[in-house]
Amino acid sequence: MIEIKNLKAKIEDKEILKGINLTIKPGEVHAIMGPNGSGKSTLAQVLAGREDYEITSGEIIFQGENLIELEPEERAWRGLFMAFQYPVEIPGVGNAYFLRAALNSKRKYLGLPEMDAMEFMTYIKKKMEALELSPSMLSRSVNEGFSGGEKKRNEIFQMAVLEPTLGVLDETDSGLDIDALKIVSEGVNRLKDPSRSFLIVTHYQRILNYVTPDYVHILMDGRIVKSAGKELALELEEHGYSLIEKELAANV
Amino acid sequence: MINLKEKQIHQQERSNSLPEWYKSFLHQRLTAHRDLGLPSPKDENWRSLPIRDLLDHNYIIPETDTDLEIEDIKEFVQNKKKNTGNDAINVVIVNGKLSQELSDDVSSIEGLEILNLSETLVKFPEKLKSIFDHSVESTHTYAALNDAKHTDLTFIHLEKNRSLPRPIHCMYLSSGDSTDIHMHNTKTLIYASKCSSCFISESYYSLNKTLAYSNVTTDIHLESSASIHHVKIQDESNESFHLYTSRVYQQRDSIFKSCNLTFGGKFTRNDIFSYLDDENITCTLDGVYILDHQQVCANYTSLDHAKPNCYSFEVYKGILDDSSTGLFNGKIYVHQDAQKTDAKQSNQAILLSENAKIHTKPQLEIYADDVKCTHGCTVGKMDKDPLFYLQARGLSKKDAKNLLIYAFAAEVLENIDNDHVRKNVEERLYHKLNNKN
Ligand SMILES: Nc1ncnc2c1ncn2[C@@H]1O[C@H](COP(=O)(O)OP(=O)(O)OP(=O)(O)O)[C@@H](O)[C@H]1O
Ligand SMILES: [Mg+2]
Repeated sequence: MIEIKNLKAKIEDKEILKGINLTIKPGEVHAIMGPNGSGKSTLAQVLAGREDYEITSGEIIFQGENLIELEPEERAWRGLFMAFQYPVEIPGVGNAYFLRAALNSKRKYLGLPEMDAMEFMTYIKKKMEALELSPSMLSRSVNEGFSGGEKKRNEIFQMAVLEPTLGVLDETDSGLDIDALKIVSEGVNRLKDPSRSFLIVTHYQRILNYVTPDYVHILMDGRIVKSAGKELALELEEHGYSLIEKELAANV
Repeated sequence: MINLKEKQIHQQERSNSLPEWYKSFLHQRLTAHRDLGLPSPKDENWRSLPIRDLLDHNYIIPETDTDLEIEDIKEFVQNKKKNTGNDAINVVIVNGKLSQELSDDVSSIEGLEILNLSETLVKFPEKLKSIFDHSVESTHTYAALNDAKHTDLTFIHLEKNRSLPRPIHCMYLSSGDSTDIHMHNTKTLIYASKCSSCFISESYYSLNKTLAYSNVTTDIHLESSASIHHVKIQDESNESFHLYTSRVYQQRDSIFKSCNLTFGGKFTRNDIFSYLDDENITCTLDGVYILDHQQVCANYTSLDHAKPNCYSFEVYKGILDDSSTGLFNGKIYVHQDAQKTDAKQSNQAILLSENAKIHTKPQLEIYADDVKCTHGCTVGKMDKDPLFYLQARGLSKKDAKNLLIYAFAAEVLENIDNDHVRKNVEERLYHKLNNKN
């Protein structure tokens, strides 16, 4: 599915990703945990194609193709989706218009016919209901005035509509109450499929109780310092990052 | 109304038939224009504008009609009319002259009259005079020139208590001349009597791509409780010089809402003066200008709050690409008497290229102590975060940019209450954006 090799990225001369190696196979769920400022969002944004970061070395091979030179939209068309840690408010751009335009540009790339407004409404109705989003949000501007939880549910709704092959979720669980966390997790689980993978960035074990990861990685200071099964998240929850730091120190 | 083909009466004959007060107005305004002179780069009122281009060309003011074949214009007009909707009242003005042949017949529309100069002098001399009495004050040199040199005018009169259900669309066509550079002094007066209301748009087009000057004045008079929703669209060719002055005079309880849109023109300058001369008046001056290549557009607005308890709202938005230049100068003058004035002004611009320039200058002069006046100005490049968000969801960079520009302008455009006009403007905006990047 995706193979990240020795990925290094910097911004304004500050190196943030210092050689990331990560392979995700079809159908797998990977979690990335790590302290604030360790580079998790940077990794997510670099995968999605944000151009503010300068890639100084490495490759991102997605379904056999190197993404590095591709525009964000070209990555989206190929099946990459990144749920933003801080979804952007865009006044004046209607949700429904935006999402249909996004879906149709992907469909165009795939050689599928465009969906007209009616077909689109039918297509999204169930997906909206499942995420308990009110239909009135469709006529509002993208994320404008949405509560924190609504913004996160909207991200998962967009993912459900765009049906990516790889979903990168950047702290989608942060700021959610217990009910919303369940709704969002179920949204992710519904999309689980042998041909679809997820990379979940989180600080907490709790989302992983619902969406079980196959692997948990720990990112510290721009590097993946430890990878293991789902038990690693529990261990972290209990001991924090200090234990990992000690382990690392001992290994040096 | 005057037939286009009919040659204009000889200057001498014409002036003989004019009343004395009218002749003295022409004379007074010519003197004013001469005293004011042509703009210079040092001029406070023209500084920051690349006016060399404007001054380098010697223009002539044609005394007679250019030989335009009505058949040639007809098709152009028909095409434009398709955009205005079935209920529209279309008024066509060619090189400053109201054309009876091309305009819709309004004789069956009660309460509305659309007249040329000689008809106005017969029917509404007092009202014309009252508008001129306000124009006399104006110190804008090109407006003075228009006041002195117009050879005809269009007078739109709405009678008392008449609320016009159909929108009026004025289409101003101008043509350049292959040997001389022509200046057309186009003059329109809109008179809304007590408690009347209407929607009126002015669209300016070029009939050819030859350099021409449009020197325009539109004077608008609102009696008490009158209400006008006004849209002005500058869509002349990129060879044209367009100087537009609008003088708005408002009486008690009146509402004036205007949207000033600039797409075309090589050099466009809009001056809007609003005088709020009694209580409980609302005046909204909005605008959007979208420029590329070497286009220049300057918007000068002046809001005069003379009496207490009035409201003014102003939002101007600029979108500037390539080496274009924009200017916004928003003056709000609150007289000592004008307590409880509520004035809001905002001016925003997006620069899409490193070479685009914008000059902005809010000018608040407040002489009353109990007022609410706010103004804000933001100028910058397009915000990266929304752009990335849209692209990350699959919108191409071009579509994402256009959508964001469109959303930026929408705050102003969505205030246009006439669906046909709003849709046309939106299409025009898309068209201009899509022919780029
Ligand atoms: N535009 C920027 N300019 C300068 N430094 C930046 C920029 N963006 C990110 N950084 C820095 O990069 C580092 C990694 O940031 P990143 O957002 O990837 O962390 P994170 O692991 O997602 O943290 P959190 O858990 O708080 O979300 C931080 O030190 C941050 O300050
Ligand atoms: Mg983060």
